[in-house]
Amino acid sequence: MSNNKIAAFMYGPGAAFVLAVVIFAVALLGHVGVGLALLMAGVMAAYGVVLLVARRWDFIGVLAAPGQDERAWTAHMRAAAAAGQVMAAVIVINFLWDVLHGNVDHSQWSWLGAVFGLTYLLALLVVVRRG
Amino acid sequence: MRNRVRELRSARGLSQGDLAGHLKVSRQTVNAIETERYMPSLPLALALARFFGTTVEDMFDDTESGRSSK
Repeated sequence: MSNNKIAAFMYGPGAAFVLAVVIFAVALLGHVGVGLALLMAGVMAAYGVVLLVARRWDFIGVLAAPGQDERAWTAHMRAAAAAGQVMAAVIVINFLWDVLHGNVDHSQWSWLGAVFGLTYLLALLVVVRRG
Repeated sequence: MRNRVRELRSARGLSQGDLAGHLKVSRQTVNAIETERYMPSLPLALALARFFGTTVEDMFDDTESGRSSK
């Protein structure tokens, strides 16, 4: 197996399998229960299997290996931008909902919004400075 | 934007996989360029032109008729 194939495996299915083991271990440590731990780890492992066996399908190939080429990378960036816009809307709407119900002090959404906004500004600063 | 990638590749008897291997991209990316679903970056367009011994302008038609092909 070439280095490229090993790298593609580790960033795709390999990462999913490792994450499945981590989820299982953390769930057991958190006393979630063996059944639910197996279910959560199983979902992640199944995702890894899909990435492994369906790579010839263009969508799965790009999903499994974001760095395979510029088209895959561009597709991931555009998808991340779209998902980010949805997340921003969800955060703002839920924050306003909490404010409307007087839950400002305990709102998780304000923290998420702050992290999201600051991360975005910092990332934009770096990207703009790099040209 | 209309392009001549498929025409140039076929003329050399290459498969999409062969061309993808030379350009270090996936076969699907070559297919997406040929079917005008993906516009390659400038470095990839230059690599394509260099590979076929032609120019980017010769491969990609950015005239009004070429742009409106999709």
